[in-house]
Amino acid sequence: MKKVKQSGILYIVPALLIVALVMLYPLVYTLVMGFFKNTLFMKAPEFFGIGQYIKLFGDEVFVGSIVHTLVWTFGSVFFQFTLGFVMAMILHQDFVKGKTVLRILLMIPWVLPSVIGSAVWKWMYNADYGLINFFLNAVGLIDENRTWLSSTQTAMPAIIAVNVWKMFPYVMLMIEAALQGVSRDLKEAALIDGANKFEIFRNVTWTAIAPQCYSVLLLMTVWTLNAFTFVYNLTEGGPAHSTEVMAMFIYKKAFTDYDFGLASAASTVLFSICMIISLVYILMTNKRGDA
Amino acid sequence: MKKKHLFARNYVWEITTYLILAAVIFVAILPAIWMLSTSIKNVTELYDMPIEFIPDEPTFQNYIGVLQNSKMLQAFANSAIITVCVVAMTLFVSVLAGYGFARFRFKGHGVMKVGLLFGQMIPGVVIIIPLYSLFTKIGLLDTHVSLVISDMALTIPMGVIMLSSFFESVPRELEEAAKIDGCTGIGALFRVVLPVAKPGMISVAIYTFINAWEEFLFALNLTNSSKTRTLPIAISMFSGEFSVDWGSTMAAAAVVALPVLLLFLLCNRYFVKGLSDGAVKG
Repeated sequence: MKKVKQSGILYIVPALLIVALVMLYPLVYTLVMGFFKNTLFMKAPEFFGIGQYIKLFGDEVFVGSIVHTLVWTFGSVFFQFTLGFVMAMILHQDFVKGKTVLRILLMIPWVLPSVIGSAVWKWMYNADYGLINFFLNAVGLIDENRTWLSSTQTAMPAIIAVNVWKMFPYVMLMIEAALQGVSRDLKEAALIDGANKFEIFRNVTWTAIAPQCYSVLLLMTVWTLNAFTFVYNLTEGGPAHSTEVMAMFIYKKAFTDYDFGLASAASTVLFSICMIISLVYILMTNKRGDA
Repeated sequence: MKKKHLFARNYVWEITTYLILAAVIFVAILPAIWMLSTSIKNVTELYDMPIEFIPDEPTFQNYIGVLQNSKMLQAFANSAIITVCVVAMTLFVSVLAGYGFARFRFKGHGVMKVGLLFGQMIPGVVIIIPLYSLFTKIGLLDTHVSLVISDMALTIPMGVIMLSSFFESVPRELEEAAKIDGCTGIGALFRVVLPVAKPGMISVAIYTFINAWEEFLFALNLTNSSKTRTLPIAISMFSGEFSVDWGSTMAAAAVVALPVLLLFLLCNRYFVKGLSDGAVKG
């Protein structure tokens, strides 16, 4: 139904210019700069070639940051998705009253700016006067105050918890929207044919919402890979690099050590990981035929 | 319209459902409540044990302090200016591009649309180093302009995707009629299509507002004076200090959260629909 009209491209030009300036140019710059020695203290970048990547992968902190990124991403996404999915199923039930209000309350973590979330959680994690130690002490789960954010054992789970708190509402919203598109007639037909609740869920509901679930999973994965605000504000990658994810490593290399070359190489690695995941996402949306 | 229930009512499960909802809502809003509670405590009650949610002597002193802090006010103004510019420019650019994608086929149509999907996936930390060097070179570092331009990298892909799927649902006959009456293509877009596309534009505006208002990474690196520093950076500096004044920090946080919370409550309807249309359908 669409007109084949080359002049239509004129509408896209402003968007193209901006995307070229703030996305395409930076990407190409980063890919190229990854092969150059370039620090604040050098007059001009020097070609370093593949040596940059040998140096990068020889850096224990960088290799550690890959591991932390995997733990951070899979830990966050697993719980974000599970909690979001369960809450969507619960909220979607016919008998639940006051859905609009419930949904608004559940969405609040997602609406609060991340910096606010970090500040409040930092205060709640406070070892001496924090709400969390107070609650856990009161119900007897711990018998002495914990320093949640400054212990290598608890820092990562603690920031993952904040990330799950922030993003599960988004997963819930997306999956609930998908659930609303599931045909009621089909469910009723299945019921008449003698299917039980579980069979209806597996054969009717899941089949209908699975594509959306995969899309949401992939979006969450890429967003968590890129997430920077929580890590920076809650732990700055510490203690002892135990929460230093790749985004944090790149930031420190670039803006604390001013080693733009190495930071660009690390960016290229992070970018490649995101692109592989995005490719999967786009292939899947294309397969559904509506991209 | 009352839907009929597929299964017989199970009261035990219904009660369990409400209990689960109550528990999760409690955890979801606890930080916000704790923020408000801390913000009206004076210094002595801040460190009282056991903890009380409602202080014995509530005070607005923290809020007065924040509102009298000239750096905070400057940051508020900076955030407001930048957010308004980002929303306006994102809307303008996304309306044009969304319409172009929805109504025309041209060379590179598919590639560019897939490119936008990819755009959503680019890590901010990957583009910040080149942007930093670029803005340093052309002398725009530490200006509002540099932040407005960078923020659009985050908002335009989503804006275009949401609006193009919205325009596809607007009947083409509307513009045909307008064109017969002598409107130009772009005139038809602004006079006939836009009024119909209002809900889609509101969704994009809200999404953009929330993103620009809370943007952190770009603001952290592209601003270095209180002239341009935005609220998220001001808050982060507040709570990053060695001995934190939690009462003031939480009052400042509440002030920053208020605009987005209000917007969300007022436009909740558009918001939920627009987000699920744009993000999931792609």
